Amino acid sequence: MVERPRRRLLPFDPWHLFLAPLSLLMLLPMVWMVVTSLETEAQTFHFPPILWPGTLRFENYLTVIRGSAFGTWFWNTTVVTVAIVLSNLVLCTLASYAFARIRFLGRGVVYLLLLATLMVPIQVVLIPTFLIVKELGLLDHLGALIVPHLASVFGIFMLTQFFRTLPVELEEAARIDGASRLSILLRIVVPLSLPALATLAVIQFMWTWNEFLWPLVTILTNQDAFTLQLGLATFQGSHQTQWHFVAAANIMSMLPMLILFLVAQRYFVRGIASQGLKG
Amino acid sequence: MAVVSFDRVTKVYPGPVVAVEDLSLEVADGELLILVGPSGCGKSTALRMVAGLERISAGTITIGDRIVNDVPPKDRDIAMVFQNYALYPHMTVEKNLAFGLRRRRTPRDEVRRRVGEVARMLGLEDLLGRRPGQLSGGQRQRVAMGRALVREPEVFLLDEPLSNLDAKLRVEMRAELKRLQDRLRITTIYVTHDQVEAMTLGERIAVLADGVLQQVGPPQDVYDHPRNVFVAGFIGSPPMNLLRGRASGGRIVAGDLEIEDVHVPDGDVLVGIRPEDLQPTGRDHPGPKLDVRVDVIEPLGDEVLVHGSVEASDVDTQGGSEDGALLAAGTSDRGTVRLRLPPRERPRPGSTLRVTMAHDRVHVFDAATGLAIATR
Repeated sequence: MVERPRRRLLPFDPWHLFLAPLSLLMLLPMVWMVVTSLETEAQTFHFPPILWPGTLRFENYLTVIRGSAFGTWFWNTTVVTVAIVLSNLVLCTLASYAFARIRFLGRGVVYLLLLATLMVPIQVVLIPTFLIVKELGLLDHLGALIVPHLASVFGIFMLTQFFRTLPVELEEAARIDGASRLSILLRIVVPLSLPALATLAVIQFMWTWNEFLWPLVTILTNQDAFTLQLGLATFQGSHQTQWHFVAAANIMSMLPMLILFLVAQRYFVRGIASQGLKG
Repeated sequence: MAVVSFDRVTKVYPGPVVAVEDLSLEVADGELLILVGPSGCGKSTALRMVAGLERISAGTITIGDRIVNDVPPKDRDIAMVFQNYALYPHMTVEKNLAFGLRRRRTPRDEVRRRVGEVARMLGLEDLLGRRPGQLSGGQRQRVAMGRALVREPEVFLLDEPLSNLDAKLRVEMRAELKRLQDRLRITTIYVTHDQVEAMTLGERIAVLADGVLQQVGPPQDVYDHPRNVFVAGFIGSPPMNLLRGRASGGRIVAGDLEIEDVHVPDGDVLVGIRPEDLQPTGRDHPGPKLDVRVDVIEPLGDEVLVHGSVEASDVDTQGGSEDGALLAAGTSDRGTVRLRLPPRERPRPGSTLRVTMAHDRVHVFDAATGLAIATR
């Protein structure tokens, strides 16, 4: 039976009538934040909220940058995030390849133990980790933010699962072609894993960039080691909050994330690892 | 160039599963040897042991004058073509071909020269800049061959290299492989489950079943003189007809088939006759004869395949390997028989066809051991 094309009442899928308003709704907080960042303090407290302030006060942004240590915070967060993302990419790749491909005694047990730590809530390990960092003499220092997160179990798990899906014949062919383990990893496995590595990088970037609790606990008094999230918190006083500055600072702190997503987007495509095989 | 020899090689996987058992076999310098057998018979494992991709549980494998049991794959001077080609998907054809040479620190000029040479030989010159994803199945297959050839290895290992091609391409590549082998004379081990490939390509074929070597020899010899029922049933398509019978006093009776004047010890036997050796004959033919009830006919253009049944029980050599036995009894007391007729013959289904066979075309096997019994 041939399915007859249904007569169309609309030039688009009817679902759009439902989805379009929904996406506008999702966008609303974002829009509100952008608008707030361009208002005067008085306008931010107006009720109902003013969604079009008339004059756009871009100087709010300059006030934030000049009036606070925004530049320092931004730099600190960048250093911490880049260091963690890079070291995660390297260390998780090495560990995952071992778990995925090299047979060694206790591989399964060690892997399970690692995975089990994913189920331990952060609150449980907060104090022990704090004590370790303190012993290392890293408190109040950016190192306290970097060292505990150099490798992540999540990253190991994700890459191990991905590496296991790569056709093992490719590696066997490379072994016969004379490639060493490291050479196989660098020339065959890593190039075929770019989508997974890009995903890991973005996730890790997002987590680190937005991390608040851990910096709050370990950066005690050293203002020079404040990260963006700590800095943003200083805008919110216990008695009053200057919402237009909070909004402006938040938008500036979000920009790198947005840019990263746009850049990394093209890597989030289907892997090509199976294209050298039959077909 | 090198001789490859298996000396009592055994491979046991944890389980334990014995994949290859006590295999002794020698591949001569420059020879193309076919390892053939049903899937799971251990032929790929045997090949992978030569490549160094599987550890050898017992015995030794020698390439040239070197025992290679503990030599890593890259130092064995072998090249392998995988069933699914295993081309590096992120590299161009040129880089795929050059990868092995580059890993061995071959000078750039030399790499370029050899890649160019192989590309010319296999007609890949126009594809050098493409990636595997942009190639057709046949082109990928050529690249896989090229990647192995470019290394100029001592030994060439091919693991079902044609099984992913369509029928037409397979025939072409088969001929091309044969031409290449005639020209290059590289010692080659070729694994396949396709007995047409085995018959046409190999100088010698080695038949494996359940990890055990059944018979080695030139294809025609193996076809004409199968050493046991397994080989008889596996080599040849359609397979040899096998009927249960009994020998006594120089006479074999299998259902209504009677064969006189054979020198076989008394006992239960299996009578094997190839489909092409059964000839239709008149009612009063004096020789051994068999009445075949025609079930189905398959006209193939150049011949007609007849599936019929006879008054004798048959045996199935392929299905019964679950418990390790090479034989399994047929289920009914009417055995199946296949025969080949000239293209214009069209026996009616349901009719009875009287066939005969030349005396010297009858194979006799011991029913207990499955081994061939000399009839003369």
